[in-house]
Amino acid sequence: MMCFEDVHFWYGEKEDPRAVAALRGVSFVLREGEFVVLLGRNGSGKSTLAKHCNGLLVPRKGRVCVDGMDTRDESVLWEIRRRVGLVFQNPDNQLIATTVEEDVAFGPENLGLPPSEIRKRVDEALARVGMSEYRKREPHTLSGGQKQRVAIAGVLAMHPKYLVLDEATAMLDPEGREELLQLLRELRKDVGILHITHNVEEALLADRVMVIDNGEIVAEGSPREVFLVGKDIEKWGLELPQIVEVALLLWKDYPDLFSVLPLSPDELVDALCSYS
Amino acid sequence: MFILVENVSFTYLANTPFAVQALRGVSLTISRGESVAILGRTGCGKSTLVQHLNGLLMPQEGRVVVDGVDTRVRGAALKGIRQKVGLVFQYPEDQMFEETVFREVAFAPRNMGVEGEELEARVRWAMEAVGLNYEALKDKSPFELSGGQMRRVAIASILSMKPEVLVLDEPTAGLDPQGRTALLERLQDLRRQWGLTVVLVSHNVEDVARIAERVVVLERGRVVFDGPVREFFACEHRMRQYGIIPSPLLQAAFLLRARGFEVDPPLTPLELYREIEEKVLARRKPCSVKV
Repeated sequence: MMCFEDVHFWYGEKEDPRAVAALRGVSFVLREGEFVVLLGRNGSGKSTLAKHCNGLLVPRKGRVCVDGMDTRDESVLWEIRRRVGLVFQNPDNQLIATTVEEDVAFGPENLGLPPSEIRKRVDEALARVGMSEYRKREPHTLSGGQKQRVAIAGVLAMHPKYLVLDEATAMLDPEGREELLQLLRELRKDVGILHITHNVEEALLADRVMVIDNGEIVAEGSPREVFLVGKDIEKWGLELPQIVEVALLLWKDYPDLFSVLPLSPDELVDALCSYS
Repeated sequence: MFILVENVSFTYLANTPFAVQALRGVSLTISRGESVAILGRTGCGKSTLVQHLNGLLMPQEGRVVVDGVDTRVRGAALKGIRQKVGLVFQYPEDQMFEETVFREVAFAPRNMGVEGEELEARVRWAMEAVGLNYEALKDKSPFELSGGQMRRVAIASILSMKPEVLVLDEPTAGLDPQGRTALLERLQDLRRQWGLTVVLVSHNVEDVARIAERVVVLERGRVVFDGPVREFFACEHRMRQYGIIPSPLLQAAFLLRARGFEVDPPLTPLELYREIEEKVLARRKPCSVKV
C-alpha cells in the first residue's frame, strides 16, 4: 500500500500560500492491483505529487509511506525506489543505453543481481510490454509509444509493486497512446498504477479517479461518480469526457433513459438501443 | 489561390544509402481564409510538407508558389514569403530565448525593421490576438508563465510579423483542456476578424473537428484524401486505414449507424446530442417530436 497522509509541500524556503504546484494536505491510498487516474490542470500540483511517490521529493509536513516505509527515512529509500517505478512525459529523456535490452537491464544490474537473473528479468519485462523483437534495436530508432513501453519495461524489470506515470501519454500520437493505455490495462492485475494526466478520456479506464486542483484533492470516486459533477468540472480546469457530456444532456430531457451514467460509446449506444 | 503545391517530391539524404523519400508527387492548393488540417500518422510527411510552405525546404521536384512567387527565389522575395507564411513548430516555447515577453514577441518585426511606436503596437496586437494581457505580461520573463501562456507567447511572436497564413504543427500538444480550448478559440477569432488562413498539422481528431473545414491526409508521402472535414469523418474504415483514431463521439455515431440509425458524423458533443434526439429517440417516440 502506498499511503499519502496529509502531505504538504512548497517550493522555496518559506511556505507561500499562493505558490503554484504546491501540495496542501493531500491524503490518499494506492493499493496493489488498483488502477487510479489523477486528473489536474497545468500547475495543479500533479507532478509534485508524482515526485513524492518514491521520495524524489519529501513532504514538508505529513508523510508518504510505501508498504510501511517512510520516504524520509534514507535507509529504506532504495527499497522504496525499487518498489515504486516512475515513468515521465518525454520518451526521449528516459532511455540511456545503446540498445533496448541494455536499457532494460540497467536497473537490475544496479541491484547487483546475478547475470542469469538479469537475463531472465529483461526477457520477461520486454515480453510483458510486447517489445521482445526489438531487443537489439537502438532506442532512438523507436516510435514514441515504443520508447515509453521500453521505459516501462525498465521499471518492470525491478519487479516493482507500484507504477506511477506522470503524463506519460502527453507526447504520444493517438496510436502510441492507445498502445500504452492497452498495456496499462494488462498490467493493472500485477501492480498498483497511478496514471497522472489531464486527458479526461483516459480517466474512464480507471478503478478510481482523483482530481487535484491548487494542491488539494478536490474529488475522488469511480469515473461514474466523479463525472456526475457535470459542467462544474470546468472550475478545476478540466472538461467532461465527450460521451459523458452527451449522456448528461440526454439525461436531462429523458430522466429514465439511463440506469447508470454511460462512459463509453458502447455503453451509450447499448442504453439508447434498449430504451423505448 | 494563395498557396500552390504542385507535384512536389522530396527525399532526405538523397543519393545516399540512408535516403528516405518523404514526399511523393504532392499537389494541393490553399485559398485565402481557408482552414485546412493536415493529418496522417507519424512519419507520413506532414512536417516535411509544411516546411515547404514558407521555403524552409525547397522542392527537389515540382514547385511551391506562394501568392504568385515561387519559393525557390532568393533574397527579398524569399523573406517576403517567410513573412506571409508564419510557421509555428511543435513545442514552440522550447525555442524562446528572450528575457521578456515583449522582446520575444518583438524579435521578428524588429528584424524586419519595424521600430518605435509601430513595434509596440504590433506587439500589443499580437499578444491581445492570442488572449494575453499586454500590460500585465509584457515585462515578465516568458519562462515564468504557465504552459498554455508560453505556447501563446510563441504564437504571438509569429503573429507579430503579420503573416497571412499561420501554419501550426500540433499546437495543442501538452496543453491542458482549458489551455487547449482557449488557444483554439483564439485561432477561430483570428480567422473571423482578420481573415487569417490557418493550416493545422495534427493527429488530434478533436482539434481538427473544432477548427478545420477541410482535411488533407498524407500516407507515405502521398495525398490520399483531400476534402471537407465531415466527409472524412463519415468513414471509419478510411480513418483507421490512415492511422487516425476516431473520437469517442464519432465512434458512437458509427455504432448507431451500424444499428440502423442514420446519424451524421458529429463534430461536437452538442451535435451528437441533437442527432440522437432527432434520429434515435424521436423515432422511438413519434408522439414526443418537437415541432
